[in-house]
Amino acid sequence: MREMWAELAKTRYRKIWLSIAGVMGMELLWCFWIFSRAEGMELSQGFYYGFVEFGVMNSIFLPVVLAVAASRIWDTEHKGGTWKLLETLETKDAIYRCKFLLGAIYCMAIAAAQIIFLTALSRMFHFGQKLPADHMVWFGVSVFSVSLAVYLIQQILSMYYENQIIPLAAGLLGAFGGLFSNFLPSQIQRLVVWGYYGVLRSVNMDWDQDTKIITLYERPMDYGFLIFVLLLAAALYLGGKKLFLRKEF
Amino acid sequence: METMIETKGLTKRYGQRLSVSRLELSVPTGCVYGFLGPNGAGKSTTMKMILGLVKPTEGRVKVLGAEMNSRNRLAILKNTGSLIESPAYYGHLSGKENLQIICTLKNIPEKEIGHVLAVVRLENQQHKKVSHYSLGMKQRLGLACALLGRPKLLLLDEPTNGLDPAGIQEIRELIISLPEQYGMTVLVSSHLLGEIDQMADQVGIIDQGKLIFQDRLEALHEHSRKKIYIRTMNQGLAEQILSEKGIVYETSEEGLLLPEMPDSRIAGCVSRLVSGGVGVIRVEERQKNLEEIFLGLTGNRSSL
Repeated sequence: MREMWAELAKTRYRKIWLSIAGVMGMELLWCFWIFSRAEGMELSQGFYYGFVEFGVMNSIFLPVVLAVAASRIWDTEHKGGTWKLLETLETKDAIYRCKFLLGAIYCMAIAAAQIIFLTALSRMFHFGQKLPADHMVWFGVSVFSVSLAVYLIQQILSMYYENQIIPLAAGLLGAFGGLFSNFLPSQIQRLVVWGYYGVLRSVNMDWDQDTKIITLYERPMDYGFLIFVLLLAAALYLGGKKLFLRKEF
Repeated sequence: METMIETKGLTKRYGQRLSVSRLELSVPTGCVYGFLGPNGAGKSTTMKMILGLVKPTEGRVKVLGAEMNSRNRLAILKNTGSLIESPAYYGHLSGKENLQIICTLKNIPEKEIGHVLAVVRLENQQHKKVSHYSLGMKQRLGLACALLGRPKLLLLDEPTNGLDPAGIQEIRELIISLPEQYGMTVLVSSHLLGEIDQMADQVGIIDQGKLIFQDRLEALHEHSRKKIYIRTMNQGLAEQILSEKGIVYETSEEGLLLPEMPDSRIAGCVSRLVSGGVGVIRVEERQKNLEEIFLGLTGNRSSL
């Protein structure tokens, strides 16, 4: 618990919450604009529309903001050369665990914020659709799980490289990769971790070029792939921890 | 407890390179132990192994009477403070906030902060961001972090690095006062002979990973024997005269070096040289300084 308090104290003035709030604010504004122009047809499936919109935005923005969060959490130690001091005060295991937990809290906050936003938007724009509780829970869990996996990749990079340009560039490339993978066949999409926001979506969208009509339809909730993502996150945690324990600073 | 730190056969190998070789360090309780050696001699590596930051290739480390291992390392280090290589800090936080984090991790009350800030004289800068501190202030903050919790043992790796003469003196006086005022044992490393000479009671000299000297500072000074230096106007003739009288001497560029002898014998040598027609222009008593002692111990392989 002590180590966690110390970790939280270190994030003072680092503006990590501000970065996340900024990105969440942008996503909210985007959805606000989308729904303000939506017609009855789209509002009648407002939640489904929201899942699709958030899914696309998550592919673009979340890899970047998670890269920033991981970078701010880890480079505070690189910059001040604090590793040798920290290792005399706590175990390396505790250092890694607390930094991971901090990132997990951010991932949870992102998922929770999006659920709250979508619920608020439904009230504001009077969605014709009743709140689909199962899809909402799935949405929250899948956003959290994929964000955790992405954060863990960024954590490994930010821990390993003193120069944070490498992990930040990886986050940007991940965002591009994730976005474009949404338009690729699902077999290829499943190779790009940053695109898993789209893979796990429980709703898909078809747009008819001729009629210009958007059709939203349910997709089966891919529990198998969700478990795979969680196992991937666990493997990344353990692999990253092994690397960290072996690294001499 | 007689010994605060004891190492047995402490060795560290990086690939083919032997960084530290079979070190038998012994730091008595309540002293300032000066760990001296040129850059790259293995001082920092040794200190890191003592703190368990680096795993030794061979050998054992005993700190505060307990043998260091991965299970008891942090329990032992609770009673130590350290400043290794360069001061550690969070630049975006103030000095006080940095110390608050250390207090949280060490589980000690925050009222200790006021005390250590006063000891290192950083009270007026405690609310300033550490990124705006000078190097000297950062060093003092590092020392303050090490002093939190009033540890029994302090390990300081070149604490005066990068400081101006006033800063060096301040840190030196602080280090000297720690055993007497707070009952601490201090292991301080340096590549500056003059620093160790003014601070330490005990000295260990490391060169190319090997401990070549370990004893009281006075014992190191005893390595230097006094010599009598005589400068003449005709060195060749002076050498001839002294040789005829069976007086042993060493030749140097500037003159002759005779071994320490009673004043009456010195007077006799000068008298013989003068009566032999040699003009004597200098008679001095000379003693090796620490640098010369060090060079002698290392066989002139290294310099500081």
